[in-house]
Amino acid sequence: MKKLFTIVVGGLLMWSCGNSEKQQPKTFENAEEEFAATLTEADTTKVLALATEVLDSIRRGNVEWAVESLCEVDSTGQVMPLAPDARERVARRFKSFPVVDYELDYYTFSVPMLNDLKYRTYFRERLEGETGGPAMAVMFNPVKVDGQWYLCLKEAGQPAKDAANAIEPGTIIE
Amino acid sequence: MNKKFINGFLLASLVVGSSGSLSSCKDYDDDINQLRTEIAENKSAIQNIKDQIAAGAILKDVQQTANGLKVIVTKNGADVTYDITNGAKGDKGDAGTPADVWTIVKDNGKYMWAKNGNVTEFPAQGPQGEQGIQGDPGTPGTPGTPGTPGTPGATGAPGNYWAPNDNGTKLLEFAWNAEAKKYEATGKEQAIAITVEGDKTPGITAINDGNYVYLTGVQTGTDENGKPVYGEVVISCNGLLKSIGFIPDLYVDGVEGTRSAYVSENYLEVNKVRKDGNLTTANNKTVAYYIKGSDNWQYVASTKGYQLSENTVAKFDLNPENANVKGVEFAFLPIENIEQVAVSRAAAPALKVKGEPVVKDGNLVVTYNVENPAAVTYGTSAEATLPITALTAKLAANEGETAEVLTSDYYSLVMARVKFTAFSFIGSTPHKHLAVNGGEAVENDADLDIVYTQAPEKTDLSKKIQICYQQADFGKDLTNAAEKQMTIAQAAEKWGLSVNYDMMPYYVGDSNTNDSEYAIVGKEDGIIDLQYINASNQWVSCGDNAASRSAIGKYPVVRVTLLDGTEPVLVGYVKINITDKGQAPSTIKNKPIILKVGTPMPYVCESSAVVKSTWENTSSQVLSVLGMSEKQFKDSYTIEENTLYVEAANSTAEAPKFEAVPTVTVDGNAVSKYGDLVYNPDSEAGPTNGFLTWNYDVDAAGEIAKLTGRKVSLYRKFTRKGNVNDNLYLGVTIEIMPAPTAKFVKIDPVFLADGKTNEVGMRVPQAKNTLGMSVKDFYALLADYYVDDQIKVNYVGETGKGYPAADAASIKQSYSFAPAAAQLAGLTLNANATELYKGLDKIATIDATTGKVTYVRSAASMELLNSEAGVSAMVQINATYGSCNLDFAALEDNQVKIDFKKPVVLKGANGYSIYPDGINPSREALGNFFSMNDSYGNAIFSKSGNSFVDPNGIFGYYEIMSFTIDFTKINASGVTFSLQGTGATEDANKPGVYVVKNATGNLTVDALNNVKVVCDYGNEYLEHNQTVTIPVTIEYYWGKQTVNSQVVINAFPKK
Repeated sequence: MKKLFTIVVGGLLMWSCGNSEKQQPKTFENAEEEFAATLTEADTTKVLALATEVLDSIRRGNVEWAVESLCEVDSTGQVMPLAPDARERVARRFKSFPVVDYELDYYTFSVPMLNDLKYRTYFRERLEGETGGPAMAVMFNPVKVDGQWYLCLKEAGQPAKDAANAIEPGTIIE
Repeated sequence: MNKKFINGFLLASLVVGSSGSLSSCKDYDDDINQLRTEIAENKSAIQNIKDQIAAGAILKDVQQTANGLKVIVTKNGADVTYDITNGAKGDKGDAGTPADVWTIVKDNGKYMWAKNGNVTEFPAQGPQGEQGIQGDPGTPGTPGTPGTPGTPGATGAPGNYWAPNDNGTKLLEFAWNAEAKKYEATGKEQAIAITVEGDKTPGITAINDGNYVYLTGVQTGTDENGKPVYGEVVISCNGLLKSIGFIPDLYVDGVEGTRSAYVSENYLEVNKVRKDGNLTTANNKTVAYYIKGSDNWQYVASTKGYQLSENTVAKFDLNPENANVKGVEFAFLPIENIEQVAVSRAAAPALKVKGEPVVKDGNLVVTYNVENPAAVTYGTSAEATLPITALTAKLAANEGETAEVLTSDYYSLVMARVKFTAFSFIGSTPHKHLAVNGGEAVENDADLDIVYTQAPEKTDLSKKIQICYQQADFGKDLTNAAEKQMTIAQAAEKWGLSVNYDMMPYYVGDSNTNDSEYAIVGKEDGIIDLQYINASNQWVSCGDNAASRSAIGKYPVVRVTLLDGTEPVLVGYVKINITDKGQAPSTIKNKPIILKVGTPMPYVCESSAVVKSTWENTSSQVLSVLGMSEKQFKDSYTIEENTLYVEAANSTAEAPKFEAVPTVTVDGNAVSKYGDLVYNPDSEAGPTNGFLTWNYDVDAAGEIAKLTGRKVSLYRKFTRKGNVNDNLYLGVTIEIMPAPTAKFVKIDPVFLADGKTNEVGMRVPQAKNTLGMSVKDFYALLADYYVDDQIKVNYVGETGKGYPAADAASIKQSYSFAPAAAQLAGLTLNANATELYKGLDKIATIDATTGKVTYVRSAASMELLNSEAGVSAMVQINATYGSCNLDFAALEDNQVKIDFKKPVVLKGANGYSIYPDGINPSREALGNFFSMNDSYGNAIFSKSGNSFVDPNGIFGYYEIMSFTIDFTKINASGVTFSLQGTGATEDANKPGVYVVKNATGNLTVDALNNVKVVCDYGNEYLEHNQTVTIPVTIEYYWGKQTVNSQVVINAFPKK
């Protein structure tokens, strides 16, 4: 959570600067409420559409196009296309564990640089009546920069609501 | 989240082939979260139901009651009933709200939903399809031959059914999609939850589909105002595990992951060589010691490698939450992408469940190890690929049945490599490592002081040490990883390691004393028991008795070993110092302790200022901390004489370091350059008697004033008797105020050059002065330029803080030229800045005592004096204060620029006309061609009628020796110039250059009349005027000055 949390918070501060008076400590929950107030149904639609596009592309076998659509947040908080080694790694993963089918698990918006969009992908056809796997989650981290949504993959330093590294709502961020 | 996953399977458990897709992200999670929140009224009942089912009970039935419902749970044939109600109890409580109970009943062979026992119109399960149309009976055959039976009609499509929604508030209709071959929701729904208006207590709705019971409208808690909150609860009827959802620690490349650490190192082995060395005793003596090789004083890395996997914990959600996992076999799948992450199939990594997974807080907690963790390396064809696995759960099956196997989501294993680096002491800053071998321990200072009495309890070494390690995620550099710490208990829990303790013998001096005999230690618990040898030659435990005192001053060494089974992984050594009572470990030893911070004191020559710390200071800051009386302190510590200390440049709060203050020789004695800090052990005069006193000394103050902040903390060193390593550095802080500033009065404005504040002119005396001075006396006193001829000081010092008033400050003034940088370019100074030079020629001097500035006559000074730019010098007033002549911090308005004025100012004629007529050359008196004034503006000569006169009688004062007219510079056509008259002589070596001078003595004004400038032209006829420039030079006492005279030669005839 360390470095990228700083980016998350930094991005949040940059976003929130001027939006509110600094009078008392702001919690992560406050920041989420502020961000939520700026979102509309169009944001949800857009984010889901981006993810669907990527997953459908992988399902069709066009893994290269899918990974080229993905972005990452660098150490300065800039949104960049996936680095070549990451692209190769992710492509290899989707080739080893292809997406035969997928379903939305959950999504939640937190702050501009930290959001959860989780799908469950099935990497082989399930037999009729088969419950459970073989499935693997893919957690996207959609980020909003300058009004534009970009689809990133959740990384080790980025908290997720359903993971052990989730941020406590009461965490003071400024 | 994974709870959504549960819902998907929930539907699938009721129908065949459901996709389990979710159309929304509705927060069923909130409902589940409500499960986890405090439930006011029904929490214990519902939790008890779940716990029972998790333990193997079955939810048998749900029935309507007068004010709610009851849930019947059965186990091993015994029923337990739980009441679920809503509405406050009490004398006038609301009447109990009735509940609705929906169950599945069989009606005419069909399964239907029944509400409170009444069959409804909603089928609960897809009924069998319509019976097929019977085939036409065959044509009766000839009797005797039976006809072929008709073909039965095709089985009809499965009918619709209704099932509860996520939270049991509605029934949803599902219909068979023949093409997709699965049931799909039709969109029709039927609300079943009891609704109420306003704040009325809702009724409870229970819907039991045989696998789950959904309770809606049940009180789940209270809000911040204490009002009841109602929500939904889902209870599995049979605790049958439906699915397991992985709870990630983190995500990597969007994939759920969990960290697992491992060690891949070599065990240690003993290096059985004897160790010989020297140690320093408490009495500061050097003695030899040795350690036998067989006493295991040193461990080195062996060739025996080992891999150790952390007892890693992974958590999984259970569906249902109260699933009964008894009898379920949990295991991990082989690593799915093994080709990419392991280089050797023979030593392939594999995850193994350790012990029995447990259910805790609704999660399945699985402890596991990774076998062959070091085999998890990147394959050459796939960089940075993490291993992927999943957890399986094989459910118990009846005999003859195939056990169902559930699989969690696949997730990645983020391997982290760990290396144990050292033992360290808990609470040390930074983490002080134990000695790595016995020799180091023996030779170093003791790590642990233990009083011989061992009161109130024996020392538990296991509570004082911890294990340091480095950890780096897969692919990261382990060697640069920051060191972390874990407790011994964590090492056991996470790594299965244990710690052993034993004494390490070593032999000191000629007597071969083995100090380690003076203690024993519990092999596994690390409890140290000090020992002494009694009169019967037996080693016994020390206590608060005189005989035990014989252990004082002994230094037993304990070896601490971290073991993997019996193999050593890490070793450290602890040296103990057995001390006397009152010698409790000092928390302030070897640390700087300031007993008194002195107020800033003025920097003066004499002062009675002192910085004194008292015994009172010492009592509060030292004695009370040491737990000593004054007498005990004096008995226990010895002060180091003749040495003062300061903190060294590399001293830090964590590791203070001290160095002795350099000394200077005063009267043949070496003294600290920062003065002396006198120790007075006599406190009999009372608590305010000086303990450490610094008396003001101007030399010491001057040295201190050079330091950053103009202050220093000085310490005396007190050494504990018997332990040269236990020192107290007690001191005071001395600060010296900045010296005052001197500001001089301004120059008398009448003498200031126009527009200047510190520039004056210096001239030769007036010709007609009454002091009998001549032109040669080119000097002045600097004070002459000031009001009342006095240079006074406006003293700027912090009076009232110890600095005296100006008139009592013994200010002394002296004079010099300002540094060379302030002088004209090319001028230099002598060593004491009282003489100004150009090259080797002296220009001016200043008397250091009187401030008399003298312009000196030299070739260079005269050249500068008569140059067009002129010459000046910057002089300054210097001052000190005090009888010992201390420098002021700054001197303001102490510099004056002196312009040395030309005694004679020569000016050439500007357009003087002459009229040679071709026959008669013009003859003009020399005085027509230039003018001369003195520096006061007085005319040295002037024209009266046709003659030149000395109107002020000062011509001779300036000792004019000659005039030189240089006609060679004239560039005129057809004309010639010469000089005629008494005293005018053409230079034989320079034709055209005429010098006018007397054979003896200086010139008088008559020369200006008698000498004529003759201009002639020959046969040519001047058609036009010509203007010529004639350089004229005078030579007088103060040198030569040359000007140009502009002369117009008029054409003939006169025009």
